[in-house]
Amino acid sequence: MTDPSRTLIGIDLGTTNSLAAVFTDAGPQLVPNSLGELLTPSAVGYGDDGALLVGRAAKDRLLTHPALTAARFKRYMGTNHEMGLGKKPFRAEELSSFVLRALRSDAEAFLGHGVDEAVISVPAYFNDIQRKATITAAEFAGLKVNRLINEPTAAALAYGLQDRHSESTFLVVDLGGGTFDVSILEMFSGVMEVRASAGDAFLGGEDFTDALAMELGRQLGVKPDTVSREDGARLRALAERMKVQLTEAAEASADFALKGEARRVTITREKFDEISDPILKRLRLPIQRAISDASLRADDLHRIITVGGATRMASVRALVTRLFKRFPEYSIDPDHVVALGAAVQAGLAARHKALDDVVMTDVCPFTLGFETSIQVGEGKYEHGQFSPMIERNTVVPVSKSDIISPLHPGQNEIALKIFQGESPFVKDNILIGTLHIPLRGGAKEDKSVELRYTYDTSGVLEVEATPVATKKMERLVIEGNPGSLPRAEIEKRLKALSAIKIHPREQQENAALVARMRAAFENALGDKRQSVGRLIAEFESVMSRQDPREIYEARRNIEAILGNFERDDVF
Amino acid sequence: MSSDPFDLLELDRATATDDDVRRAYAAKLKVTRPEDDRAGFMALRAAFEQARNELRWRHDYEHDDVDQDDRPAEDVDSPPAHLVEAASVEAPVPPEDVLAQAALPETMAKQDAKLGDAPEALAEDDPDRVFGDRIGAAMDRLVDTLTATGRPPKVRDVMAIIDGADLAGIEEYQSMQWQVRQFLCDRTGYNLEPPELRVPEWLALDVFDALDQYYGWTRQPVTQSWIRRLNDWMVRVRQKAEYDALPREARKQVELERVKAELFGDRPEPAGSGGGDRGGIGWLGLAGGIIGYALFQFFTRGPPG
Repeated sequence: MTDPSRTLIGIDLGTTNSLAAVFTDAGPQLVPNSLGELLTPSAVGYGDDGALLVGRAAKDRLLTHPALTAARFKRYMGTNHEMGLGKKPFRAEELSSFVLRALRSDAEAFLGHGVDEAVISVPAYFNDIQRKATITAAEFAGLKVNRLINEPTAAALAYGLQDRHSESTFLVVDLGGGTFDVSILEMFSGVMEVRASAGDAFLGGEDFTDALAMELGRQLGVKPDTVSREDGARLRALAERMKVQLTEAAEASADFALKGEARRVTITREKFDEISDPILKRLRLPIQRAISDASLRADDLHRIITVGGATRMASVRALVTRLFKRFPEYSIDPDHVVALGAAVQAGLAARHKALDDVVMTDVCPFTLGFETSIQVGEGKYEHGQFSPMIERNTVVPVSKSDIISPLHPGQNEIALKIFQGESPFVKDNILIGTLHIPLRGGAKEDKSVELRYTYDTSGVLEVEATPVATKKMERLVIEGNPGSLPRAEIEKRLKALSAIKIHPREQQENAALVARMRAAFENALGDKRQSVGRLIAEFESVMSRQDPREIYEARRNIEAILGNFERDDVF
Repeated sequence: MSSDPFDLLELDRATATDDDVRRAYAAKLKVTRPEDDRAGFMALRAAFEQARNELRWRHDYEHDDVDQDDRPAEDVDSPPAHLVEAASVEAPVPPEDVLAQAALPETMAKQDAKLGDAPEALAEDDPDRVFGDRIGAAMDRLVDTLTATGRPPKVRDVMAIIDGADLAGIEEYQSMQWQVRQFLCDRTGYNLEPPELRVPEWLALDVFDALDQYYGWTRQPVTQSWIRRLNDWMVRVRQKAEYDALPREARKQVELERVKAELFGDRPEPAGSGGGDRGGIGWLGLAGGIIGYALFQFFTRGPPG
């Protein structure tokens, strides 16, 4: 890097796990967290001392302290849904900001200097409100967003870099924890061009886990809404673990502690495929749409690449193989590839000399337009028509302009409703916000206004309005997005967030281990439960003596013992 | 800056190939990056797309004959290359209304050639032929299942056909998607002159929804207007099927709402509204005598309200 004081980092802010990576002379490189792990679970919660925990510790505490812990908040980005940590409710932007802040500290520790700018990946199918929420989350974490990069595009960058001078067309199937994206890219002479993107913002690996948890609940004779919050969280964690086991094994079984007795649950790969079939079926439509939008046939695709942790599932790979009649590639770890690609984009933005001959162009995934009324008779209008301005899969940045006029000459304002979506009726599209365009002058003057819409490279929208009569351009703020925060509210929350005490980075490892032991204690029975209890007591006394060397040794010992327990299906 | 795309790309319009355009674009892109020079990039991008389109059209017109002869057998029914591009290759079978005139003479010529001089093209292992046969056979089975007399089709049976292992590939899926829609359009009056919506008895709402769920006609956005027309028709078919599935009383209510909306529309003061309550025939009074008569006509098969 030419200027080390201005290192951009790449961040994959995932539904289930998040990662950070940097671009070095040796290429993109993942940043380990304080536990030495590359994946930081996207979980946040209050610890016993009232300080905030992020990552593995929080994830394990989901089992023991579900009321104080939150996870999977990415699904609520761009909505007003709040998740409570104890009594205090948090928005998805705020919870995400804690994860981003942890990743930022990890990167600073790794690089040895401060970091204040990042490239953050988002699902290609994130709409404008969700994108702006991600930028707000970064701001809460003290990070400037250089650019948002679409996850499948990032993955393609990571793959494309490996043989950047070849010509090829490839399809990326990205099934993450909570979102599904399909992108088709064309590569020629160092240019990486996204041809089309399609997807489903509410389909991911977590849905498979939910389906499996339902099935386990059925076997145990309990309903998810009737069990305690703790039992529910444990059941879901077990489902998650069995889902992972089923990628290797044809059958998985485990003991689940329910009301003080161990109950055996078993699930075969066949059964799992059967219950997840309805979810699997939803993958086909976006794939066919992306191919169709790119004006290609399946034969034209040189490579089929699968990314995202959920593509590890045998059923997902089998579906992709059936669809394309060939096996998909996954030579780069599907959990790492998006973060690596985000780091490549960070390297591009920082003008890293190793990337001189690479350029990437992306597309907007949604059609953008506004609401218009059509005159259907004398004094009669049909409202709610969607009038497209920028068609989906147009290369960004892109800018289009249009002249609009008020319906009545006496109007002194046009309230323009902006929508994103593909239906001819606005009611079926997503309201991005309303633009209040002031109209000056009397009833006889020309009141038409030229509007210019620009999708920037992050897929975020800007609007400028120029009255034809005055030619004075105004940059308009889109107000009233139902799921986003107004500026004043952002400032207020930023202050409140800085007052929250965060668990020191160097103590996260101890906190994570304690949380893991507690979770084991919760699910173990009999002798094993007693030995886990003893381990917890021992470790707490070691910690109270505050000898770093001794704590380190104790941690290694306990981790080894816990590892054995976990293999024995204790929890 | 010149507005001619070839000038901007520094190419000779008369000799430039598609590869030249791509190479020139790639070279210029590296010094006109979208994140640094937004306006410059947008101009470059526009020039690139314009130049490529121009070359593509020129190619299609100048080499039409050569192209057609080089096509594989399966493409016989395909539209000219530029139409395929516009249609985004949704399926190997084109819409009849768009192509009927253009493709017919060619198809016949091709068939003659096939029967006469090129018996190899009919070989059993011709992949295109095998593909076409497979889709055709699946369509036959589907049509039989849907329209069998005296046996209303079951969602399970329909799904067993379209979700079968022989149709699992994306190409098969796209082709079936196209053909099933064509079939449904045809049987619901889309091809009548003028089109007249009617839902055959066998097309129950649950069967339609199962097909639509699988192929996504009413939910998937389409940019091409002629495909959008077909999908809009499917939306209307669904509405009609839904309406037909309603019990009689509910249908009457829907009709009444529709007439009311038509009569009073967006007007704040309904003209000629006289209070609205006229005892036993209150709903007739509300809509006015004429409309009441129209409704009465509509429900001639049942006793009037």
